[in-house]
Amino acid sequence: MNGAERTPVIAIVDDEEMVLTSLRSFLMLETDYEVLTFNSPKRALAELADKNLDLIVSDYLMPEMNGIELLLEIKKLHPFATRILLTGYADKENAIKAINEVGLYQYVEKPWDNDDLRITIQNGLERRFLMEKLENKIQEVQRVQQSLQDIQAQIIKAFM
Amino acid sequence: MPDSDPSRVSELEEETRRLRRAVEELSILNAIGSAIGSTMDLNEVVELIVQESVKNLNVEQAAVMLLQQDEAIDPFRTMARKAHTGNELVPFRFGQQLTGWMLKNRKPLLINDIQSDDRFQSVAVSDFPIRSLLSVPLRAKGQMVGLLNVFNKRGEEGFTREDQRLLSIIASQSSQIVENARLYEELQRRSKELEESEQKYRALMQEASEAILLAADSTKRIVEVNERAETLTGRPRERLIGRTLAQVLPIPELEEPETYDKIAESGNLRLTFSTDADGEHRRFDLSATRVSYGAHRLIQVICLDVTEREKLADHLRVHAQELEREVEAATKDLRTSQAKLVQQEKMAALGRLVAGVAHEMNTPIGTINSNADTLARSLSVLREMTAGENAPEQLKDNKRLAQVLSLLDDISRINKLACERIVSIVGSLRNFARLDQAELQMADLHEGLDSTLTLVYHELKNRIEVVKEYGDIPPVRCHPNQINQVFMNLLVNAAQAIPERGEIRIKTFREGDMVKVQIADSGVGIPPANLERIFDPGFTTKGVGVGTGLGLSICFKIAEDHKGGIDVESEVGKGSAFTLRLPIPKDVSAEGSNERG
Repeated sequence: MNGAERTPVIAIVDDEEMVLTSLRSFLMLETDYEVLTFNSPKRALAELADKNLDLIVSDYLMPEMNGIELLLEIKKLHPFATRILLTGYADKENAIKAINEVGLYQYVEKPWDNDDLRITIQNGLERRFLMEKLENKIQEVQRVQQSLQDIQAQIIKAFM
Repeated sequence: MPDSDPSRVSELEEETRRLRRAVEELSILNAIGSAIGSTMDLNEVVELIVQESVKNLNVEQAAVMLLQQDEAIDPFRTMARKAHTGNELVPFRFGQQLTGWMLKNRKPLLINDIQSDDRFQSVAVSDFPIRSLLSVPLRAKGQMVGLLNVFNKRGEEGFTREDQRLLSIIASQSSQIVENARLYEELQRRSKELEESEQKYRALMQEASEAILLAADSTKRIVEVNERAETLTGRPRERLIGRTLAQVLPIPELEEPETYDKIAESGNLRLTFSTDADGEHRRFDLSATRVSYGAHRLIQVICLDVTEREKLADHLRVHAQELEREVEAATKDLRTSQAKLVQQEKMAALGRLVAGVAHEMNTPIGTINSNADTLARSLSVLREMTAGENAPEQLKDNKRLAQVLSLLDDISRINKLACERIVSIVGSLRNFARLDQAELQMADLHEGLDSTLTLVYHELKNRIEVVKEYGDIPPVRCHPNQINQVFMNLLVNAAQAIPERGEIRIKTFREGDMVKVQIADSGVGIPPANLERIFDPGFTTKGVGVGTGLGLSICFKIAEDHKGGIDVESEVGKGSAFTLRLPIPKDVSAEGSNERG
């Protein structure tokens, strides 16, 4: 489905419990993702700090901090995780202003369509794994280059 | 000798004196009497009396004082003659005490030494010093009409009883003459006054701006007219005098006896009539009054030319009507713009309310909508597990389970439909509040129409034929999503107006500096009573749950925001045509270019 060997981990943050339950139920039925839900952005930050994370969906308007602020913090912790904002209609303008600050992958409007959301998440994950693969490849190339350089150094040493 | 008898001599002498005096008296009377025939002029009569009195009584001066009718003491009309001033009569002012005494006592008065007479101590008469006087009343028909006075007897002896007798005779003879002359003079004065008053009246009548006709009350025949009456009737004076009023004035009422009865009863009659006897059409106010001049009873008809006044009044009336119309129009304009303002304010308030509600509904509706979808998906999973190929046999034939699953399916399907409808309504509300402030851009309306048509396809299905009559129209500057919203509403409404099968005709064309999009349906049409209200927010005839009643009011607002509008024509049973008007941008309409934004 996503080209990854491991189970994708996605987090959903919204101060409304009903939104969390809906999304979790749908995703659990339709996908095999590991879905983590948080009704507090602060708790989300605390618990996601030492966890693996592939994608995060966050509400915009929340009591402790807004979605953009949360996603900025998450970006620091998990730079490759795809960031999606789930906004109420009236918040759209504010949210759009902040999109550039945080490098948002997509914003989704409430009320959302389940299929649209699933496809957005799926694409977001694919992107995330492509990025990861790319990163891995780069690292591999770097490693190979390094070993080549090492070999070269040894050869030079051997022939000198 | 008897001839020399002294007593006889004295007797004879006495007789001679008596005869001589009688001759004198007779000659005085004769002179005065001849004056009656010679003149009726009061001044001349008085002159004569004064002359005769001065001459016969041997005095320095004589005066005739005529009493005014009301017996006022002052002014006496006094005429005197100073002996030394020739014939001239001069006004002679006289002490009031003397005249007062004379008026009171009405008998002769004889004073020879006025200085020592205590009755008249303060007698002082201008520049003429009076030493002695003799005064007798002038009587006519038993009434005192004046005094005859003589002053300052010449010689030493002063006034005698003889003088008084003589003056009384002169007075009694001249009284009637004086009175006659006075009456004659009075008559002349009166007749002169009368003549003047007649002249005044004539001038007044002739120069009056009203036409005046006088007719005898008995015969209704005209006895007098003025110049204006000649102009009014177009007849010269000779052809007016002697005719009846009805003959010369074009007023049918004047031929009826009741009209004159009315004048006699109320004393006045007013009416209005027109005539063109003068050559042009003129209107008159007539006032007929019954008047009496002495024994004559006359009908006085006064006609006032009111043509100009009525023209002015007509002019004023027209002007007033114009003003009234203007005020009415202005008031209507004001009402319209007020209604528009109120409407705009209502829409704005509604917009704020709706925005708030829509925002608050996002989360719960999003949740329910999502859950309904998830539930449907879960059910299909469950059905696959219980009824699919790999399902356990005991579950496959369980009727109760199948029943429950089918029930859950129904509920889930209905939930989903209900949610979709709520989502769509919230979407409408959101669009109504128009929280999206997308930029204005140049857009091709045909593209918008086509994409909207694909969206409403499920409403049209196979029952409605869509006929496109796209004209050559330039792009317009607009918010395309809003304009599409208008198309969507108009198309859905058109589809819903067609009960079975029908046609929707979409026509685009350019008219002046406007682009027009007409969406016409062959549906049921809108009754005239509803036609005015279709753009009111909340007005719907679709029944509860079908329409929000917001569609057309949103369309109207969007069109207005684009400086355009929506016109509607409809006929019950034939269909409705909604026409969206949008302005062509100045730069485009000027160049006629076809740029796209």
